Amino acid sequence: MRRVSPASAIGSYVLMVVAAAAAMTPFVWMVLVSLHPSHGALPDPAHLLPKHLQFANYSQVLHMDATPFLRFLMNTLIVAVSVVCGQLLICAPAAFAFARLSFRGRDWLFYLFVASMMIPGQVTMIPAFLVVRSFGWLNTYWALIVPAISSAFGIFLLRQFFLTLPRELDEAACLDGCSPWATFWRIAAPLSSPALATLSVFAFIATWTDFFWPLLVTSTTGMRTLEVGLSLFKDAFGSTNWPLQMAAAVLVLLPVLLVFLAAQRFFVRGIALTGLKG
Amino acid sequence: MRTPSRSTLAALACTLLVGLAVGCGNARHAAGVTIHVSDWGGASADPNMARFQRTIMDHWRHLHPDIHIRWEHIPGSTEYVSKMLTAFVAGTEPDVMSLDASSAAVFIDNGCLKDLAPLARRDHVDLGAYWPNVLAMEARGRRLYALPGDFTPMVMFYNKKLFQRAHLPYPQDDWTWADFLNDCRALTVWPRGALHPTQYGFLAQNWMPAWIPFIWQNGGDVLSPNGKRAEGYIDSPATIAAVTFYAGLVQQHLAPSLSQTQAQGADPFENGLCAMEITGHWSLVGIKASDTINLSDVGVVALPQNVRRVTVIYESGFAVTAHTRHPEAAWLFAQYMSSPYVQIKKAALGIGISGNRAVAMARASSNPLEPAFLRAVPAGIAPWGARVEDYAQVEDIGTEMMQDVLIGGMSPAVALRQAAARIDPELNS
Repeated sequence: MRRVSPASAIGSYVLMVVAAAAAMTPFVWMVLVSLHPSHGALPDPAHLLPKHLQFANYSQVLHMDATPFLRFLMNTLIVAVSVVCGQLLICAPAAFAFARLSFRGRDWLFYLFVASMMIPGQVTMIPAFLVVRSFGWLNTYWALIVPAISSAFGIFLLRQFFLTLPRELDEAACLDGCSPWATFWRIAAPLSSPALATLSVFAFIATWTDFFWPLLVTSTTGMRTLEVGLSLFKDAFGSTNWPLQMAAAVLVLLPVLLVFLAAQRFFVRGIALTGLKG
Repeated sequence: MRTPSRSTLAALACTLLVGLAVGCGNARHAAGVTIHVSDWGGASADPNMARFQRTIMDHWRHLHPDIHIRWEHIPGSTEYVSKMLTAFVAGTEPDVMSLDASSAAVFIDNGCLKDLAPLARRDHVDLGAYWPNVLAMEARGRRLYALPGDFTPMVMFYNKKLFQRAHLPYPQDDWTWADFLNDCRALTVWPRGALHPTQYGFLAQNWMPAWIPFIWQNGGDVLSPNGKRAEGYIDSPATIAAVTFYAGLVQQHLAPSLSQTQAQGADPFENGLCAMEITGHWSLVGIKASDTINLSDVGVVALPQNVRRVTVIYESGFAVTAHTRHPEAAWLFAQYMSSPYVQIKKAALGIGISGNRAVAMARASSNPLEPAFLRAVPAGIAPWGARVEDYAQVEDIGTEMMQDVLIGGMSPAVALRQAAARIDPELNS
């Protein structure tokens, strides 16, 4: 095995630390500005560190009458968790079928799914809106959840993972009398936690950060999600209160960050195993 | 090997179903008619705005207890237009919508709005009470598509203290580009040895409403009179000269570069970094709340003129949608929002000038800054967005063009020729 010289190890660590610091800078800046006194202008870099930490900004954001952040948070959590659960329940069996079951037209059907990923969201948005309206779902959780509950990307991602599982496992399960469903549920699914975690994180982040669809299908403040709420908040304050705006942005970002950190181990493994790294 | 239990599956399914079940179902309406009203701007944390909305809604309920209002605030002007257009396609449009002059053509020219002129004649609504050029923005010939709410002409704000410090007289309404340039030079302070000026004469923004008046003042334009062609207009000598003049303010360091302005984070006019800026009435709200500048230190004057005196007016009114199921109730509400009662209360917030002349005049008599806005009104014309459906694309290309000039250092003639070549296919697609 080739030994890495101490100089090159130190060099690579320094490089990684610098890259990590550069990546973290906007977030650190955002947090520091959010702790400055309310109504202040943007501090210049020399005065970025606040003299007194204004945690009250966060409490102020959470208790605004015009922009009920806790309600937005609850809506977003309900929608994001439902979409993640829905995608796991629908995409995983579908992906297993594409990877393992033999049926007529399977590959063409799969290619059709993959091709649908190339259609821009803007093209499908109005038809989706019309469907949702025809069901009478506008301004309800149904409209926020159902259209996102299945994903061609999720099916593709999980199929790629299922293809990496040895076929011998299926054959052994078959010899033991397992049905395809039992093989999926007892053999494939438990081995797929990295890929399932990856899909969960992707779905969670996509739902959490979605702006335009929730804006389209909701019409009352009580049904808005965090991203739309953040935009309402921005309109309410314009550019006159950066610390409060940054506090609101940190609050919106924090749950995504926590989800990512919690699932990071699986996420990295999932990406490596499903070949998404390119 | 650990197998997921049935309870795990059940939990997943339950979470999904609970998510779907919570809050589903349509809103129930009380007895009477409910009309859906949309406007843009989102919620306001300003207690005065919240009080205004409560007051007018209480008054409306008192006047029309059987007509309930479901008011939807939509954040962001671009998102507002997108959402409204989608709603029209799907047939879920509101009964009454706020119509902004900058995007009025999209809705008027696509038949989304009801012609209010017959209703106005029937109910003897005095259209002469409104500013004629403001009323005309929402009209097509004898057809009228909205009743005016409030508006603002784009004017020049100046910092009186900085003018006094430079021993300069305040600008007057008849000032010219030459006067403006001289003032910019006198107000720019560049200490010896400093990398940049510590004070600039003007705040140059890459925001088309701030710089299109320069083109008009110079006798140029961005589109042909029928709004169908850019070539020969946006790249005409008059337009090139105007853009060269505007960009020259940055190139001569009389205005901060766009990146310097961005780095400020706050408004450089409010901070005292720039002595003048082009803006509208709404800026008074921010200045009033500002810790860095006093309202009494701010002066307002018409834009400097060159070959003609002209500015752009931005207006918003209330329109009734063409296929509303409650046309009479919607018409009543549009009239109400345009009525002196609401307009007096709205004008007090300081966001805009009332479209009702009497209300605007009354406010001007008690507020020292208002007369300067009113003096600019006769020279105000509608934004292209009130007349050309695809003007949003023109604005995007115009902004990129100015960026190429101000940041990329491209010559205005080349940048404008390229812009013309990009705009024409958009307008004719």
